[in-house]
Amino acid sequence: MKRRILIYILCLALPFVLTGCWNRKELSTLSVVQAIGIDKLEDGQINLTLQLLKPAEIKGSSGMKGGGTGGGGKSVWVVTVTGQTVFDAIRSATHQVDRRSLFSQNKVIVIGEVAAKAGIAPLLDLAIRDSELRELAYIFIAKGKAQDIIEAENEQEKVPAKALENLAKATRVTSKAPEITLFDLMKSLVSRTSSPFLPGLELVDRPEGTTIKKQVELCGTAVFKRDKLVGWLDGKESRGLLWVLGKVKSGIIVVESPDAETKKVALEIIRASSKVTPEMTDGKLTVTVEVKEEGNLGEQMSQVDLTKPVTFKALEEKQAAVINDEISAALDKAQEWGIDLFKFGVEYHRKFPAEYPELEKNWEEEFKNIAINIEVDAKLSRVGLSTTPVNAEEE
Amino acid sequence: MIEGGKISYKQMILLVFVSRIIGWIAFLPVILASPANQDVWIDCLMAAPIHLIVALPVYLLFKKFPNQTLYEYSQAITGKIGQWVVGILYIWFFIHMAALNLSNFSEFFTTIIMPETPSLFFVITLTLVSAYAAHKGIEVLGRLSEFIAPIIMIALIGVVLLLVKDMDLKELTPILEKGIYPSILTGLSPVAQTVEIIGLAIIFPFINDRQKIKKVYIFTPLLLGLFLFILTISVIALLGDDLAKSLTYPFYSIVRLVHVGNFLERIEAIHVAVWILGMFIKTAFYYYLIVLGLAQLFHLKDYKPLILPTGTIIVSLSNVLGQSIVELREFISFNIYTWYTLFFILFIPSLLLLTATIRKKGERSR
Repeated sequence: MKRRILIYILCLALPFVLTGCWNRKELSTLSVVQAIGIDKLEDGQINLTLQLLKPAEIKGSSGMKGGGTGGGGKSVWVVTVTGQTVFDAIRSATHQVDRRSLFSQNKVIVIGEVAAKAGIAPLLDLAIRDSELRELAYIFIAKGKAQDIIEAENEQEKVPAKALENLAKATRVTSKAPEITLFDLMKSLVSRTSSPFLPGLELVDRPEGTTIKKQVELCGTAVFKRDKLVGWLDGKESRGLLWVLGKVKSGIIVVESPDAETKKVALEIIRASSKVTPEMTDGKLTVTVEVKEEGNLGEQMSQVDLTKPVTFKALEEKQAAVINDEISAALDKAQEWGIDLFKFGVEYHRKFPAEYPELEKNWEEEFKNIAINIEVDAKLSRVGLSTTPVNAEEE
Repeated sequence: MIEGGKISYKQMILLVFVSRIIGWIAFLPVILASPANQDVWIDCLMAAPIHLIVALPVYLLFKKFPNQTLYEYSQAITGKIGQWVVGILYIWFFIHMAALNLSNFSEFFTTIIMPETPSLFFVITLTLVSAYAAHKGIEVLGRLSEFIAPIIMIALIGVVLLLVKDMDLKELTPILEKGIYPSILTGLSPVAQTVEIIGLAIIFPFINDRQKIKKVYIFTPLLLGLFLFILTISVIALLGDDLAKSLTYPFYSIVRLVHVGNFLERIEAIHVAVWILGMFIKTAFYYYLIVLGLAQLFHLKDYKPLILPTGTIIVSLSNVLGQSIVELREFISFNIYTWYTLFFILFIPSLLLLTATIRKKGERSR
C-alpha cells in the first residue's frame, strides 16, 4: 500500500519535469531571420543586414483580401548592424531587435561585391560552424551592396527572401545562372584546384509609376579564385560553364532559321549531360568535353515548314554550334583568368593519381595551357502540336 | 553465481552492434584514419576480417572456460595476484570508456541542440536510466537491444536511402590512390574502437546456447562492417573526403542535408533520437561490465549495491574528461586511441591465452 501511494505521488510529480528545458524557444520571443546580407565596410568591419519576419503582418494582410492595404504594413523588417565579425554583428543586432534572432529558417545569404573581393570563406565560417544555420540556404553575390538586395521589396512575394529563393530555383529553366546552396559552396571551397562560382544579383530600376522602385534581378555568375571574387560571367558564358559540368536542366537556344537567316527559331533544352575526359601525353594536358543534348522545337518565327529531315538536320547542327560557342566562351574566359571552374583538376586527380601531386602544385599555369576539345552531340526530337506554321508559304 | 540471467545469441550480437554503431554515427573516426582520403571505405571492408583476428583470443578463452567470465578465469590462469591486476585494469578500462561515452553524449547535445544546457544535466539523466537498466541485469540489456537495434537500423538505412539521389559515387575515385597497404593496416582503426570485443569476454558465459557462440563470433563483425561501410560510403559520396574530414559530426551533417521535394527535410531529430536510444544501451552495457567486474573481483554475492557508487565515479570522471571536444577528439584520434584500446582488447587476452595454454588450464579445446 505504501508503495502504491509512493507511485501515485511520483506520477503526480511527473508534470513538473515537463515544464521544458534551458534552451526552449517560444515563437513570441523570437524574430525569424529570412535572409542575411553581408557587406564589408571600408574600415574592415562587417556590415550585416537581416531580414526579419513579422508574422502578425503576414497573417493580417492575407485576411483582408483586396481591401484597403491599411497603410501598407510591411511583412518584413530589415535591420542593419555593424560588427568586427559576423557573429559579433549578429549579437549586436539585439541592441535594435528586442527579440532573439532565430536563424534556422534562413533561406538566403547574400554577400556584397566588396566583401566577396576580400574573400568569402571567413564570412561563411559561422554559417558552417553554427548548428542553427542551414546548409541548404541559397547563396548569392550582389553586384553592389548586399544591403540593397536585402532591403529591396518584391511585387509578388510578401517576404522578399522567398522571392530570392525562388529566383535561385528559377535558374533551372534558363540555366543562365547556377543554383548554389551553402553546401555546394562548402564542397567547392575545400577543393585545392577547382574554384567556386555563385549566381549574381543586381538591382534594376523599374518604370515610373510602379509601387516598387527597384527590382532584384539575376545577373550571370560571379567567379572566384580560391575564395576571392575575380570576375563575372554573363548569361551565355554561365550556361557554357553549366554545360561542361552537366548541370544544364532546361533553357532556350535561339538559332537562325535554316531557310530565312533573319528569322529566329527557339529550341527548348529537354535534357543534357556531359562527360569530361582528361588526357596526358608527354606532360601535355588535353581535355575532351563531350556534351549530349536533347531538345525540342519550341517556337519558330519563319514561315516555312521546318519539320523535314533536311531542315531538321540543319537545325540540329545550328543548335550544336550555339552550344559549342557557349562552352568555348566560358572556357576561354576561365583559361584567361587561370581559374578552374570546370573541376578539370578533380578529373585529373581521378584519372592520373600518380602524376596529380605534381600537377596540383602549379595547377593555375597547367590549367591555362590545357588544350580543350569540345564535342557536342545535339539532337532534336519533337516538334510540338503543330508541324507547319499557320501562315506557311506555299512551296 | 551473481548473474542468473541468460540471453540469446541474437541479443548478444545486437547488444554489441548498438553499442558500437552509435559511436560511429557521431564521430565516424574512420574518415580520419590513414590513408585519410577517399579510400577509407576500403578500411571498412577490411574491418570485418581484422575484427575476427583481434577477437580470436577472446573466443578461444571462452572455449577453455565456458562457464566463467574474464574476471573469473583470469584467476584460474594467473592466480590471485594476476586476477587482481587483470581485474583492476579492466575495471579501470570500462570506467574510462563509460566516462568517455558520457562526455561524448553531452558534447553532442551541447554542440548541436542545446548549447546553454549544462552538460552535467545530460550526463546525470543518462546515467540514472542506464543504472536502472544495469540494475536489472543482462537479460534486460539483451531484450532492450533486441527491441532498439531494429529501430536504429531502419532509421539509418532510411536516412541513407533518402540521400541516395544526392550522392556522387565519383567522389570515391581514384581508388587505391596510395596503394593497398595503408588501407589494409587501418582496418585496425575501426576494430580497435570496438571495445565491445572484450565486453563479450565477460558476457559470453551468459548465452543460453553455447553452440551459438560461434555465430556471435562471426556475425558481429559482419554486421558492424556492413553498417560502417554504408555510413562511410554515404558520407564520402555526399561530402567528399576533404569536407568530411573538416566536420565534427560527419554523419549528422549529412542527415541535415536530406531534402526530398519541398516537404521532407530537417529530419535530424531522427538522428538525435537514435543517438539517445543507442547511447542508453551503450552506457548501460559498460555500466553492467563495471559493476559485475567489481562484484566478481571482491567475491560479493550481488552487484546491485555497487550501482550508485559506480555512477558517481563515472559521472565525475566524465565531467573531468569532457571539458572540451578538442581534447576528446585528440584522444580518440588514430595514434592514441588505437593502441590504448588494443592493449586491452588484444594484448591482455592474448597473454592470458598464452599462459593458459602453457600452464594447461581450462578445458581441452577439441
